[in-house]
Formats: sequence, structure tokens, C-alpha cells
Amino acid sequence: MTQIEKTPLRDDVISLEDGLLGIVCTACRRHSFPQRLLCLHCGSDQVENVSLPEQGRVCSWTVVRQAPEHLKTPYTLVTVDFEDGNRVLGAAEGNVRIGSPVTVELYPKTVDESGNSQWWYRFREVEEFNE
Amino acid sequence: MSETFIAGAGMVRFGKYPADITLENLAVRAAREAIADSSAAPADIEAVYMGHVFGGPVAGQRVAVQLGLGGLPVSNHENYCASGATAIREAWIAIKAGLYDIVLVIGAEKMTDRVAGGVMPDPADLDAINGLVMAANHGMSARRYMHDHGATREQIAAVAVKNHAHSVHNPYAQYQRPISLNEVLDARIIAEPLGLLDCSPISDGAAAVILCSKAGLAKLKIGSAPRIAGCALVSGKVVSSTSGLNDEDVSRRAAEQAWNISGYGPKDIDLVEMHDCFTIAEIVRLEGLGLIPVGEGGVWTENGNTSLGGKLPVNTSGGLLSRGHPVGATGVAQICELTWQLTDRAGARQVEEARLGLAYCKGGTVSGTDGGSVTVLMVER
Repeated sequence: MTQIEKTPLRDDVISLEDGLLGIVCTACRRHSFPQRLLCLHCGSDQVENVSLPEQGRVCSWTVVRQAPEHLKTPYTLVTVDFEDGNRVLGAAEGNVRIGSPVTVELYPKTVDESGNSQWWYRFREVEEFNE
Repeated sequence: MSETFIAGAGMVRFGKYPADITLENLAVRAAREAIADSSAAPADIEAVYMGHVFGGPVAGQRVAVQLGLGGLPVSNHENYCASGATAIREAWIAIKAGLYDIVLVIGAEKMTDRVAGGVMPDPADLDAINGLVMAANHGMSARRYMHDHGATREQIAAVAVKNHAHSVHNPYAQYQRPISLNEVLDARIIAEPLGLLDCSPISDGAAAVILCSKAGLAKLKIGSAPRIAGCALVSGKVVSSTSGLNDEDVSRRAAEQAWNISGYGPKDIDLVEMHDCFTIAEIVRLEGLGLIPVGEGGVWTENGNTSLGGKLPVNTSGGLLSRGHPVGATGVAQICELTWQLTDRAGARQVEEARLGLAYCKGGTVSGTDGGSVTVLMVER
């Protein structure tokens, strides 16, 4: 039996070691998410790969109760603001509110054709940030 | 550069049509109405522009041939819910450039046999993986708007009550009965805090207009017709964590472009056809355009300022919430409504002495940005 492997669902978005992935532009100094060839703000190709902070704050949230069939309802979605300037959408666990601190959490989302688990990100509400 | 006029407008009633009423059938019926309204003969038409999203390859050509217009230049335009408005803008550009004098623009969509549970971003977009149904975006917008401005759930729901009250008088609207505030508040939740009646329906429908240059009007022996004062188109930009969730910078930029093209400003607008795909969207977009003060949209709606007879009537047609929202047809249906208003043919929903109307569409989302496409079209008497 072959070993079941853990892989990122998309390796431009997360790494299993570093969490959410992004870029910082050496021309305009701005950050964007996820990893891309060019800076989303200025189009420069002078970009460096970085990872996003592990924690952010909820800008807003909703619980989705109706969605196309392939999505299992209900689920919570949040918009999260990070100190590096990124604003990222994702699913959330826990009792989120506007202003709630959340951490980035990786979890097995789907299984590919070879039986490998494909990992993705979501946010988890925490009481306060870890220093 | 030639000015552009609306020589004819026509549409089919929006709603849920059976399977044998096809996209082509809906589009042909709307186009026939617009052509008849302009008194053009098929041979007068020089080009066809078609806005649609789910119609498949060369839908415009499939329709044109059924209209006896095979052989003409036909182009298809996709900008999600702004597709119809984008098709009008392309036709406006061609007439301004002097290429044509008389063209047909159609917006058409058959959705009820191919979309269920809500529309989504393209599967390749990051937001689709996260399950971002459009309603979720607007649920988050509503939650933040209430938090920032102290707006009430009732004020947001009042948008649906108002727009349904308007379309009681619109024979082309999908829904033609009034609804109560409690019906909106008690409807089942789709994406908190928004319920079913905060959301525009999944609809079938088509709308069409005949656009003309001055020479085209003369050829059709039309003395006067509403003039397109400008068509703006912008796309979304990357947002940062320091901006407000409801900043609506994309709407502000579209408005700025529209004012620059037309020479008009927010105070000149007499009525608005607003892309109210969700109740909260009408409020934040009106604010983004600078038509009403930021944070006051809820109060404005509650007080009747945006109702027929109010300071700034918005969505006399019923809007997307009540006229219905066949996505590619909506932008053209908005221009049909402005045409009827500006030629005093809007019946019981007529805005007295309306001279200048604005129509706004927003199409699609792109992960990390403040939108896909936004159009602002202005039509004057």
C-alpha cells in the first residue's frame, strides 16, 4: 500500500510548513496574496516570496445557509485583515465577530485521485493573539 | 464624433420560462420589440452587439440569423452581470467613432435551466474554492455597514420593499406584487444577515435597444430621442486591509469617469437604475457614486427618499430584486427603463420631469479586489 501524502490543494496559496503564501514587491514595497509572478499593485516583476502573518483580525463575517449543491451548508466565511496589508477571504471556525482575532489553520479539505489528502487554509477564532 | 441616441427599446417580461423557450427565442422577441419601437427595417441595421454570460459560444450570431440579420458584424460581450451594459458601451464607441449609424444591442440570459443555488465566481478564482457565493459577499457587506453606521436590518430590508412596490407598475417585471417589511425580515436566511428577499432571483429574460447616430435618427425619420450622455467602464483594484469593506472605490472611480465623459455631476441626476443584486448593494453603491451621503443610505431608503416621488427615485422598474436578474440582460433592461422614463412612457411609475438618468451595473468578483467590472451609463432627454 502506498503512503498517503499530504499536499497543498494549491501550492501558490499555502505551504504545509509556512501557512499562507504571498509576495512582497521590491519596487513598491507592497504585499499581496497569494504568490504571483507580478506585483498586483504595480505590475513589477521584482517580487519576493514571503509568508503571511499567522494572525489577523475579522473585518466582517457571514454564515452561508444556501449554496450550490457541491457546497455543504451552513459554513462561516470571514474577511480577515493582516498587518502586512493583505485582506484575505476564507472559511472560519469558532464564534467569530467583527474585530475577532483569528489564526491561520491548515486542514485536509479534499482527497485527490491518488488518495492523497489535499490541504487548504481556514481561520480559527482565538481569544487573544499569541505574543 | 457622433452623438448616440436610443431610437427604440423593447424587452420580454423577466421570469422563469419553460425549457422550450430558449435563449434565442427570448432574445429574438426582445429585439423585435426594439426594432418595431424604432420603426427601423431589418435592412437599416448595420451591426449587432450581444451581452450574455451563460449563452455559450456565438450566441449573438445564433440570434442574429433568426432575426434575418445574418452576415452583419456580430459580437458577444461577457462582463458577468455588466455584460449587457458593456455591449451597449461597445456599440456607443462604434457609433461615436463613425463606423455605424444604426445598430442593435441585445442582452439575453436563460438561467433557470442551468444555474441553481446562487451564482459563483469562476472555478479558477480563489474565492470559488472558499465557497464565496455572491450572497456571502453582500452578507459581509451588510454586517459591516450596520456595524459602522448603526444602520438597522429593517433599513436594509426596506430596499426590497421599495423595489417590489415600484414593479407593481412594471408589466415587464418578474414580480408585480408588493411585499411587506415582515416578509423580507422573516424570509429564510441565505447568507447572514440577508434572507431570500434580500437577493435578486435567478431569472430568464432579454432586452434590446436600437442605438443611432444623428444621421441614423434622420434615416429613421425620428425627430428626437434620448441621448447617451456617457458610458463609463472600470474594473476592480486590489484592496488592502486599511480600506473600509464598503469603501466602494470601484463605484467612485466609475462615477468619476462618467462625470468626466458627460460633463454632469451627481446633483444633475433625476433617477437611477441601480444594480441591486442584493438589498445592501443598492445602498453602498449609491453612496460610492456620491449620489447620497456615506452612511445615510439606510435612512434615505427608510424615509422614502429613493422611492418613486422621493428626492432621488431609484429602481422605478423594480430593479434586479423585483424586475428579475437574467444577468446578461439586466444592463440593457436598465436602459429600456430609462428610455421609457425619458420619453414619458413609464405609466404609473413615471418620474415627473425626469431629464437625466443613470444606470449602474456591477459584474462579477475577482479575488482580493473590489470587483470585476462596473459600468455607469447616463441617458438624457
